Parts: sequence; C-alpha cells; structure tokens
Amino acid sequence: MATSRKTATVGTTAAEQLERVLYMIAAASGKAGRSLQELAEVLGVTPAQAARDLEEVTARAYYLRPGPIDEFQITNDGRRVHVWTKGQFRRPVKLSPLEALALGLGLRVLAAGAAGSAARREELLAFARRLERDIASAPPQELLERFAVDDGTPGDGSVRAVLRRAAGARRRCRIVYLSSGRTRPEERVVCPYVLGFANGAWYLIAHCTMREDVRLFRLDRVVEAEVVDGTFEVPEDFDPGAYIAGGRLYRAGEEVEAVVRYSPRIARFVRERGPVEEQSDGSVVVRLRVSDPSWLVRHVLMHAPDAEVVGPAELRAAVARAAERVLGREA
Amino acid sequence: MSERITKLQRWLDLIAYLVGRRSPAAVDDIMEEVPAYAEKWGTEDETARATARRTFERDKDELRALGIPIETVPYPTNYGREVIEAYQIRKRDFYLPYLRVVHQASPSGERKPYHLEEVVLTEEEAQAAADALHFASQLPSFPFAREARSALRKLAFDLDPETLAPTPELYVDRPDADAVLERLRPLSDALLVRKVVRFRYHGIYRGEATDREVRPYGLVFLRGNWYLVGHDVGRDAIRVFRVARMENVEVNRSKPHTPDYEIPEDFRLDDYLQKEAWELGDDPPIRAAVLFRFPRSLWADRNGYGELVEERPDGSAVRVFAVQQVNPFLRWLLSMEGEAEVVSPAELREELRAMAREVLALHGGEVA
Repeated sequence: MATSRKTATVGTTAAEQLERVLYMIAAASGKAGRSLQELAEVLGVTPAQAARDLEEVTARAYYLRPGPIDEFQITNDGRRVHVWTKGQFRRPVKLSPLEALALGLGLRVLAAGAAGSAARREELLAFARRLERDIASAPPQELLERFAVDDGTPGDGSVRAVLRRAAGARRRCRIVYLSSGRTRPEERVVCPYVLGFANGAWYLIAHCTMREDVRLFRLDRVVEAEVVDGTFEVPEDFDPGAYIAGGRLYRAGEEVEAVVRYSPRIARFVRERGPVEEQSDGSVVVRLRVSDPSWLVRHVLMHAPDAEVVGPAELRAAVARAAERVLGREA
Repeated sequence: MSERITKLQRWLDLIAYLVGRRSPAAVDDIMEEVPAYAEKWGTEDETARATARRTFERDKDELRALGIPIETVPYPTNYGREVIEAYQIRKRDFYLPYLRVVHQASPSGERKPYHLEEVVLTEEEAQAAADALHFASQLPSFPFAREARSALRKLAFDLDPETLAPTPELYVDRPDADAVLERLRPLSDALLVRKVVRFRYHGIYRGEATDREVRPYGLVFLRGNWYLVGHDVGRDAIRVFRVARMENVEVNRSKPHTPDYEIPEDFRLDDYLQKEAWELGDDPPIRAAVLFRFPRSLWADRNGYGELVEERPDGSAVRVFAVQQVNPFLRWLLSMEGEAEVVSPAELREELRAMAREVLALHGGEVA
C-alpha cells in the first residue's frame, strides 16, 4: 500500500537510465506499444523524463556513425510509445545484484516471520535460494551477509501472520487484547483492515464490532488472534493515510495539543523529526497532537528524564501519577 | 540531438553488440564496431586509442557491477594457433527467464521472443516474492527501495497483477527518514566495497560526541532504526552505532577500487537481529530479574521478553534479562508505569526509582 510519503527519487545517473530504458524497450516492443503515461507511472518518473530517456537511445548527431542500437526504431507521439526491433531487448533483463538483494532480504524477513513454523521457514528460504539462482544475474549471497532486517514483528509472529492473512482475505477475527490500564485482557471481534508499522511498532487498524468504529490496536498487546466466521468489506471511504501524521499512527479526531520540552541533550535528534521551538537554554519545545493520553505518558517516560510535559496541566499530572505508580505510591 | 555519444548510448551499443552473438567478439572488433570507441580507435593517435580502450574497460567493469553478464572468453583465432581475449553476453544469462504461475498458460508469440527457460511458481510463491519486494520498497530509509521497485516491475512483466497485489500492510516513514537515508547511502556504498568510514557520533546516554573511524561489517534494520555494525578502529572492537545519531559521514576516498579491510569469516550479522536496545551495548551484561504484574505478565510472555523464571499464583511472573545497556532498559521499564518492577539487583532497582523521582520532580510532583 503506497501510503508512506516516500516517492521514487528521480534518478538521472546512467545506471538508472539504463534500467529504465531496458524496461521501456521491452514493455513497448509489442504490436500495441505502451502509453507513455503508463510507462512513466510504472517507472516513477515524469512522462517528460521517460520521453527524454527514449530520445537519448537513438538520437545522435548525423555525422556520428550509427551503432548497434540504431537498428531499433522507437516512436513516441507523446501518447504511445512503439519499439520496432527484431533483435535484442524485447525481454526484461535478469535481476541486478542490488535488485536480488532487495528480493532476498524481503524473502528472509518473510521467512523469519513464518509464524513459528520451522517447516514453512525452511520452505521460504529454499524458495528464496531457488529464485535467486534462476532469476538474478548472480546470487546475492555475499550481499545478503552484509544487510539484515528485523521487521519488528512482536513475539513468534503467529498473531501477525493470522491478522495479515485475515486482512488479505477479508475475514473477521477474534482477538484477545490487553488495553492499556486494564486489569484483564478483553475479547473483541474485529474486521482487520490493514496492518501498519510505525516508529518501531506494529499496529492493526480494524473495525471493532463492539465499539462499532474503527480502532487502532497495538500488535504487541494482541495476545491471541484467530479467524472466525464472517467476511467483511472495507468501506470505500476508508483511508489509512488519515491515521498517519508525523511518522506516527494514531486515531485522529479527538486529539489535544500537548506541549513537550526536550532537554538540550536530545534536542538534536528531536529537531530532525519535525518542527521545534528553540529555547534559550538549548532545549526544544514540540507541539504534539495526542489522541491517547497514555501514549504521551509512555512517550515521556521512554525519554526520561529528558522530556517534560509543559502542558496541558492534566497531562502533566498524568505523567506525575505514572511516576508515582513506579514508586509504589498509588495516586 | 546530442553532439556526442552519451554514456547511456555507449552502454546500449556495447550490450546490443554483445548479446546473443553467435561467436564471442574480439576486443579489436568491439573497438571498431561500437561507435563511441571507434571514433578514437580509428585514429592514428596512440593516446586517443589508449583512451578508447580504457573507456571500454571501465564500461565493462561498471556494467558487470550492474549485473550485466559480460563474459570473458578465450577465443582461438588464426586457425587455432593463437588465443585472443573475446567477450559475449549469453541470452540465457542476460534475459529474465519466463515466469509462470502453475495454472497459467505459458506465454507465446510476441510475449516469448527468445528461447529461454521457464520458471514455474506456485501462487503462494509468486505472492511471497511480491510481498518481499513490496516490503523492501516500503522499508523506511532502505537504500535499495528503487531496486525493489524495479525488481517488482520485472516480475510484473509475466505475472498477473492480482498475484502481485500487496497484502494490506503499510510502513510509515519517520519524519527523519530522509536524514537517515542521507547517511545510509554513503554507509552502504562503503560497505559494498569495504571502505573505512569516519563520522561524528552522538552517544545519547553518555551525552557526548566522539569522532569514530569504523570498518563497516553490516547494516541492520531493527525496531524501526538502522544500525551500523563494524570494527571501531579507535576502540579496536566491534561496535553498534545507530545511524540517526551519526553526523558528517565520510567514506575513505583513497584507492576507491581496493577494499580497505576484510570482514572476519566468523562474523555473523544475523546475531544482531531480534535484539532490544539494551542488548546492543558494550557493557558486560548484568542479570536483571523483573517482576511483571498481571496482565503485563501475559504481554511479556506473548512478546517473548526475557526468560521466565517464576510464575506466581496471582498471575504475575518474574523474568530475567541480560542487560548490556542499562539506560534504555530502565526507561523501557519506567514506561510500564509500575506494572514492571526490578527485583534484583538492588542497585538497578534503586536506579529505576531514582529515574521515577526525577520525572516526578520535573512534573511538579512531591518527591518524598
């Protein structure tokens, strides 16, 4: 789901151009050709850039002798691209070492999260090796030893695996959830819309049949999950992007503004995360939208003693009460 | 219209010349047939000819690094009396084999322009490959997200878009994702060719900035953060650095094509996975016993935190941890607001309480 704010960086290095051109020639070499707009979209560049790339393939000064690539006829009427060639490049090329690394890392992450099943994990690893051997220009084994990814799936991954399959198949689930501050876990039946990873933690955005509303659940607090009878449809107006702000996932709507001061010691890292108000002592003040007060309390405690809630007063008091609980003094 | 032949044209000419030839091409033929080299090769000027030859060598190396399988083959000539160096690109090494999901028909006609092998995938395998690439293209600050997207485009050539549809998962970039990526790029470049890096590091707990010189051994994405694992030259030991806390990352520029170091054979990057921040320090480990009250105990068990040593009748549980970095461990316990309590050692218990008192004082509470 393309909801992160990442956009394809428009690259103009020869390597990036080569990758795009080889793709476009292969894609547009059939009788039907391909629309320029579509090619540009798939490549994550502007149509103008895609057109420039194609032009560069054959356009050379008349006094230069033609090369092998001049046997290609490329036409682009601004809407559709056609490539006429009986020769090469009518097929995409094998995965480059770095493409194979991306695939290999992804497959190893899937294998690591294979729901506690050693057999499934082995199966995925064997598949990764087979695919790397068959579709990559060179197996990325050495590169794979230099990069490692832990996608932060809590526990043995079985809960995430159940919810992820259920979300894909639009199946309802029964979950056992530990709400913050509750003395007992609760059972809920939910329609899992989407799983999200933000700031190092996994969340489930789901319609909760008890609350009759969309709710966010932290995956590390879902103790059990199982598919139950019943399917669902995700409402057309559901937009996961509406739950994302400032690199966090939260339920917008009833937020309050919290003012938090961070000490000079950690100010430099806070500045990189968004707008701050500089203070004369080197500390910074940040205004945070908070929909769940217990999130803010945890956030401040995680940054202790370098974060302080300046206001509002009730959130300051909530942090003080939390500290008192740690000291064994129930407020 | 270009006044000169661009690098892209030169590369395309060279690849088109070498792919699928019946016999390998001798260097002299390449120099004469590929226009960008021929221009200079065709002169009497020895310096120009040498330049053309060097350009070819560089192109060949760069294309090989990009995965273009230019093969060097000894080629007998002059009725077998002489063996010369020649080059070729075999179609089966160059083109993506035909991919097919088990129940789909094989591609035919213009969809199958060359004689290549066919790779058959189960529907589940095709979905796993797509999931893997969707994941890599969304992984926050991943330096090869572009490559993940281009790999996905290649698979989409043969496979049904429905098979390649992503599972409903989204990855949210942190606001500092671009700043982190800016540091990750030189680090991953250095790692790929094994060059030493230098940077200023802001250790958050010790509150000091130090200049480091490190031989990168690996990059790890862990709990939403990127870490560099490498040999810290000044400390003569392996250290873990959070990329977001680096500044002025510089790669050693001398001898760019020669690696600066070897990575020890027994080094395993996977050892750094599934770690918590308190397990990444370089202090000798402290054994800490923590009591989790009910229902926090269920949560600790569900997430596999520490090792269970005691279950109490009220549902609470004691779990032990090997702590190599005290500060993040205590802040983590603090965030549980009294639902987790240090049982031992006593000093750690007191440190947690001191931290709580500090927070209380900051927030206007009465510190007894």
